[in-house]
Amino acid sequence: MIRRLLVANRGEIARRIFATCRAVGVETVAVYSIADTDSPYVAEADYAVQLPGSAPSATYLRGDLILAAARKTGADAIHPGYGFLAENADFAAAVADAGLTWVGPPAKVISVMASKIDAKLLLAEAEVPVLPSWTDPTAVDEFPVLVKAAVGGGGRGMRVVRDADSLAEAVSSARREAFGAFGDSTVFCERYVEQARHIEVQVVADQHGNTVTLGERECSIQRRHQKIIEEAPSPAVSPELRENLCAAAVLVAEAIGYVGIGTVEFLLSPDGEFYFLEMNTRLQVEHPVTECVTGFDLVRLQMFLAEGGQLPFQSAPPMRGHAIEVRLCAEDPASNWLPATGQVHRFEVPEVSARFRPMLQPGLRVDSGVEPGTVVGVHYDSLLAKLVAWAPTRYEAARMLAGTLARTRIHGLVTNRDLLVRVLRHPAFLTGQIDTGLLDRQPEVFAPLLSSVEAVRLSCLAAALAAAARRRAAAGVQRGIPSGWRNVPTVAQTVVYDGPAGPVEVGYRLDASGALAQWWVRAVDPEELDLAGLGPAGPVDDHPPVAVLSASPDEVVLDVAGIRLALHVHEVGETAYVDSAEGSLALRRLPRFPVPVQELEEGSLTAPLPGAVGRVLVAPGQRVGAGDLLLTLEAMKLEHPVHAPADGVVAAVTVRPGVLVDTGALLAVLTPA
Amino acid sequence: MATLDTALDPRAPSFLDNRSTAQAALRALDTAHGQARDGGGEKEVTRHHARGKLLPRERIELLVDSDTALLELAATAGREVGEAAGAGLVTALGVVDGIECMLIANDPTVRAGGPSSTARRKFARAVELARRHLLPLVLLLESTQDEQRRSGVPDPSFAQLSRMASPVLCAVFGPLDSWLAPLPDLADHAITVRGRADAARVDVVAEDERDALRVLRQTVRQLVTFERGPVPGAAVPPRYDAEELLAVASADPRAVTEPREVLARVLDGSDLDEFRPQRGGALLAGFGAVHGHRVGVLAGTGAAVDAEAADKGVELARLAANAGVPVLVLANPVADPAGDASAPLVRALSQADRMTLVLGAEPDAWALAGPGFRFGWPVGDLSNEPYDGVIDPRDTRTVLGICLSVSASAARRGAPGRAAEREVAS
Repeated sequence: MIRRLLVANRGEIARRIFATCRAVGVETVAVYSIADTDSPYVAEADYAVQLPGSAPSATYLRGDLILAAARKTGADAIHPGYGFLAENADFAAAVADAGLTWVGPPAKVISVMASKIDAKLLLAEAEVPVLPSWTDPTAVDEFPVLVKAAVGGGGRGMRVVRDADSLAEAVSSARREAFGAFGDSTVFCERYVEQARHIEVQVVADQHGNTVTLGERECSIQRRHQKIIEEAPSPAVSPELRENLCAAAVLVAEAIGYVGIGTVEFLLSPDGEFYFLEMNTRLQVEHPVTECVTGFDLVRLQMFLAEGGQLPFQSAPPMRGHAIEVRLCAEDPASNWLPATGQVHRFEVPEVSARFRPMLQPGLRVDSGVEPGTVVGVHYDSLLAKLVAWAPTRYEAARMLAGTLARTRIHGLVTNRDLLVRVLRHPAFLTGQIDTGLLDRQPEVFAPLLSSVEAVRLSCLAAALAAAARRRAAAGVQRGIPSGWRNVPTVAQTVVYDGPAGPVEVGYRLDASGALAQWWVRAVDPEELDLAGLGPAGPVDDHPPVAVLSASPDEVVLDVAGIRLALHVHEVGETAYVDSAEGSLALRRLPRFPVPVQELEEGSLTAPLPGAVGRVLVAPGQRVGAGDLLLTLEAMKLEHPVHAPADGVVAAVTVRPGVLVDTGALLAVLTPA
Repeated sequence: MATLDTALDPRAPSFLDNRSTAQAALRALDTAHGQARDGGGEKEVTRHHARGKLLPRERIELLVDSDTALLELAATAGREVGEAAGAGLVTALGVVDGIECMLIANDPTVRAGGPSSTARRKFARAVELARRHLLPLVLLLESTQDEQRRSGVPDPSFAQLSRMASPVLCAVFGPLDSWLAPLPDLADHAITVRGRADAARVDVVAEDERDALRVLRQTVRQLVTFERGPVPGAAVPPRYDAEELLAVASADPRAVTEPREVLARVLDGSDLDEFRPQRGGALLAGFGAVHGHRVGVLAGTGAAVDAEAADKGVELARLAANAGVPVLVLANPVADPAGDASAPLVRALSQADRMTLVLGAEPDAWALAGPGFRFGWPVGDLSNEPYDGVIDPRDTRTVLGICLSVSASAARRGAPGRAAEREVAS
């Protein structure tokens, strides 16, 4: 019986496992890197042990240190979560050898499935349908193909290659990424099916020969081959197809003698055929949707099975209603999914029914790895939280989840929230017409929720009025005097913000009674920023008539042509976060008195995101062509290439491998040819 | 607390008469403000902007804290004697980095062929008020391009600068004429804009105008005496609408404006605790507050101040001074000065920390005693402009609130009591 469990993981999954441990009376142990010192999961564990460093290779991938931590704290079981060492057979074996309970399948099972190449060979023999694949890239004789890491998951290392020319670079880049993430650089190529759906079956097997399936999940909404929206059941799966998928999944599990909970992933092609992709021998990120529709606590089930328990049921229970999960990530979909770093200043999800635990009735569940104050750095993946809606029907679940997400206040980081809302509300999604290429075909889902010119203007105005109210409330002198009062009227009050579409000037003038006498929001030419703040350059038109019903530092209520609109404003340092029914906006206030900055040399290449410099492929003096790979940045486990924007000669390289750089840091200078 | 009542009757003929007269006067005031704002005219302003330079009011707007109030003093002065409205000089009370300052900026677009007597008077008055209220004095200087430096007799009011207890900061945005040229030397801190001027005394060379204003802001923060004591927060507004002050103001500039009706629309909560209400009826006296600042009130009622009324006024001034509370004087015209015995009151008020609101033309003489802030309502023509400017009656509470705040800040910076005695031996 497990008494004290160490979770060899971090973030939301550690909190998720701890929640079940608390519910069943098991004591908890966390391990944490230096970067995670202030993470919420560390504080929530009964005991916690620091690992020396921040990089995964120095911390969460160090099985020896984790075992030492287990011994030191007296833990008698280890749960690996997902990622990191979850599918590392050597670690699973070492845990068992140390006399500890491993909450996962036996090492020998992991090692079979850990190599996707061997697993496919094995299962093809067991007559499970598989896609053709090549372990030798030079043998590939059809395109497109998908380059995949042989071990691990989460889409890391994956690349679609559509012609032979780009195969070599894709393979070597995938190898490096796979090595960085999983410690194994083996990759292989597999036929790539366009417009395929990703369907997976949850399998549960005990040590007594019982293998049961808990229905399927669909995870077709993906970016960079990583799932961002998952649901159960799949709208594409008929009862008959479900029966076939589940039977195939049982065949897979039994073929390898699976024990524990696992997931068999299939690819469903547009013609209705399905193919085995791989089996994940661990708890999936998206396990909560299955928990919703089946009522099981999968972590509790894992622990029960690890303790040798016998399944008390012989067949899958019927699924109840529909559940959809989104992965809220710190990344900018509009900028090629660039991961974002920073501090979470506010994270408020409305109407939450449950956190980290299965729900008893339909509602909304949040599994979050962050809390206000948490710093999201460059070392780990960008997942902030999972939001799960469970409702009687798929349509209701999508509407509930989109509504909750839209109302969620997330301040401090760029996130994919608006994209998730737009996908959940998209007709293609609502009618179930989804596949792994949906995001590529529907560019409109990349637009911010706050997209009308008027809504952006009103949000800017609200930010300015709230800031004015804050300054008035904090004034050291003349606090009760009307805001911006003048006996000789001159120019209006102005403030310049850096918004999503560049700098904007907000002008406003209040009369003696506090009513809004004049206002405008106009784009400012970045070259003429020094002229901002001296009143509008030209006539300001088409601004709706707006009355200020109230203005406080936190909330501005406007009457816009007879409609009451409340805008919530949260100022953190220079940045104002505005949330309203129209959407959310972050505005960075530009200083009234800018300190002159040194201009970058022409041809300068700067870091598009914070991260560590990976490879540097060029040296000063070297001639390069447009599109050539110059160097790479590594952030949040992904490799970001920096290409030459034009033909030229490398004049300078200002970084070397391993150096941490911030966004905007100078990387290299190119002299145009 | 006694709350003032109102007898204002919106149906009375005088109500509409007073209001339409006041509105006409406000339109004239607006026009005059517009003329002051226009400076030397569109052509000069365009030429000035084309040189990459800012107008004095633009400089001030950038200098002061966002959303704070700005009270221009004698904004239209000079107009009545045929000079440019404002006399090419802006003097104003503004808040810079949380500190109330006296700001003086001259307008280089106004070509007057040297400083006018009004400009010199405005300058001297601003310096005087800054000295009395321990206000940092910020000078934003630039002369008209074609007025070269000539030798001349130094302005006698500049001598006051060296007697100021508060810092004098000076930013030079262009060449200075003979009048302004001595100022950088007299300042505690002088800033010039690179390539614009060659003043003898330069502490900081700023890159551009904005940079100069940034440096000024930071210098104010560094040089001003630390303030002690609490600042009043939000106060209860009057119970009656300030808009009605237009109907309270007597249409006839020589007629009495009922002071209780004024105070009911100016004092916090319309509360006035009357002092000796049963005696000396020629003078209304009492204590109240404006924007949370306590104030003693003395108001003329149109009758000559007899001995009993004078004694009441002297006593109130004494009590107020002991309590460290400024005195607000409402000045009314007097129909018949016979029996006036206000001399003791004049002596008492010339020592007091006081401010005056002139309600009509030709106010009673005692009410103008002493050097404190003095504003007037726009009654009759604007030529009767008192020292510090004509204000919209509806802004009375705001203007008094600013003056009282300045007075309170002075008290927090130095010893509480009479500002007139706060001089530095030199």
